[in-house]
Amino acid sequence: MITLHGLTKRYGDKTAVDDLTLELTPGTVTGFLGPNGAGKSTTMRMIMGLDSPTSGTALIGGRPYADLDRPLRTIGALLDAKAVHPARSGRDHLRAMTVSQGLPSSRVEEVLALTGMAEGARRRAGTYSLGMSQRLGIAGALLGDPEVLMLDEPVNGLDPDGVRWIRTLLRSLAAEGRTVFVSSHLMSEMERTADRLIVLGKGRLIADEPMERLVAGSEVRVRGPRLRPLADVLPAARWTGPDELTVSGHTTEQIGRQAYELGLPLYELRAVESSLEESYMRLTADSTEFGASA
Amino acid sequence: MNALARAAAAEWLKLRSVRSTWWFAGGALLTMLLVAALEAKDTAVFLRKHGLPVEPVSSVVEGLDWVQLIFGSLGMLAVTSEYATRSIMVTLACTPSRTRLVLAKVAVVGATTFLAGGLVSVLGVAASAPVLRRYWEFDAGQVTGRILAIAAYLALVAVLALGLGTLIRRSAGALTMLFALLYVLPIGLQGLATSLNAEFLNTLAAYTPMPVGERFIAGEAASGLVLTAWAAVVVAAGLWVMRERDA
Ligand SMILES: Nc1ncnc2c1ncn2[C@@H]1O[C@H](COP(=O)(O)OP(=O)(O)OP(=O)(O)O)[C@@H](O)[C@H]1O
Ligand SMILES: [Mg+2]
Repeated sequence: MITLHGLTKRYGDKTAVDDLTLELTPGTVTGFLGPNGAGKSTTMRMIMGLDSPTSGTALIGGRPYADLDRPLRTIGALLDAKAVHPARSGRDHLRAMTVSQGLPSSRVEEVLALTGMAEGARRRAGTYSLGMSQRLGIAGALLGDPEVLMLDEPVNGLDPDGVRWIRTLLRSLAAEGRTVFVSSHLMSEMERTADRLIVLGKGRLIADEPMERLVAGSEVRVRGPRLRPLADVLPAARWTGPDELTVSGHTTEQIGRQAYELGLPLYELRAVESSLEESYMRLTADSTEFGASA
Repeated sequence: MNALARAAAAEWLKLRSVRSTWWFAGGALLTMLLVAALEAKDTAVFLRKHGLPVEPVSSVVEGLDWVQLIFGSLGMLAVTSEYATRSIMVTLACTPSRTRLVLAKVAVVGATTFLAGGLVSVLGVAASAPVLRRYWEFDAGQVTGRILAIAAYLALVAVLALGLGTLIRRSAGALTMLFALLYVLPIGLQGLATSLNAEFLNTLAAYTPMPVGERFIAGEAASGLVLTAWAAVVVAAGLWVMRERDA
């Protein structure tokens, strides 16, 4: 379990992470979303004790990272796949990690087999493709068979096969009762992997919701020839076509009754699932820092 | 195994699993053999002329001027290469205690360079022997002591450089600092002493790492302590920075 309390990081007058309080629970894949520069990586670095918070705390199972005796047995993390000495082979990279944790050397071969890197690990890490580096990083995160896994954009650079493999892996790790914390920019993938989503914008927590809540059918699509009176009485309605309204915050029953009372013919009335991408875009509309000006 | 031993075992594995370590070792050996063999005659003649004793390590001592920078680079890279490749993140994830990590690195770099330094100087003596033999007075006990002191000197230079690497994090900066500390500082202080007519600056110059090292190798044990203090202070400063600054 990871507990963040009032976690804040400032770089000069820039606040990268702003008063973040969260609890990440076992048995759940928690997705970590937010625009570029939102503070996701910084949060993870503070959890790892790589950067010290300006204020607040980050605890793993109630203890700060620095107090863990053999940290990789408690938390496995992949923050930067390319952070490997290019002249060292993947296998030696993992062997050094194994030795430092007092783990049996057989673990190296196990995680290499699991990540499909048994062959590649012979070569110097500097020759790896991005996807191979990610696999090596994931192998390192799994090395200590930890209770908590924290991965920063692990699918970045993976082939479709690898993406699917990560999805199944993370789901099964959570099913075993582990805490899984994973950031990503790939909404459709997140939608399929995570149970719970945390959205950060400019360092602040802007949403912390179960997945169902973010993708649920909270919108209703209405189609008909004369919808203007309906639009007038429903402030939450917006035109999504010449004869189509999309209404949020109402059920199909409410809208059907409303239309009947106004005497309007309807051609279509249905609840639509908004995709995670749509919900995300709505949530972060005000906190994208680096958006291209259209 | 306790935590420090585990960290040291990992550092040792990392050190020997990159090819550059072996290039440095080979380079140091080759440099020493060449200098020791080629300088043997001049060194012996020079020492004779000044009425100084010619020892079996005399030519090896000449080689130290060159070889120490290679040893220093090796020690420095144990830290700076991790910052350059960002693999320091993985290292700190495995060993979050900065103190333990730095001690582990000091132990591994110190032990490795001590052994390598000893080996390099023994082979250096052998390389200079064909020429030097005609001039030297051989005393097995003395030679052993000198070689141990040379090995310790090289190890302390490597640890000092490791400390500079921890302090500065970048190879170019740390190497410049090492060069300044070893070569520029004593000469600079002597120059100042002359131009300011301040004798205490000469004394100060005599306590910078290189002159101290020369006296230590010549048999002055107390100078060994001064050199150890230099290394310890720089490592401590590096550790302080590592604990205070973000990785
Ligand atoms: N060492 C640093 N010095 C100054 N600013 C920093 C530093 N590290 C991060 N920042 C700033 O902190 C903010 C958060 O960065 P962070 O890398 O955590 O974002 P992110 O959510 O991971 O973004 P991305 O999706 O692009 O990976 C950014 O504005 C970044 O420029
Ligand atoms: Mg990031």
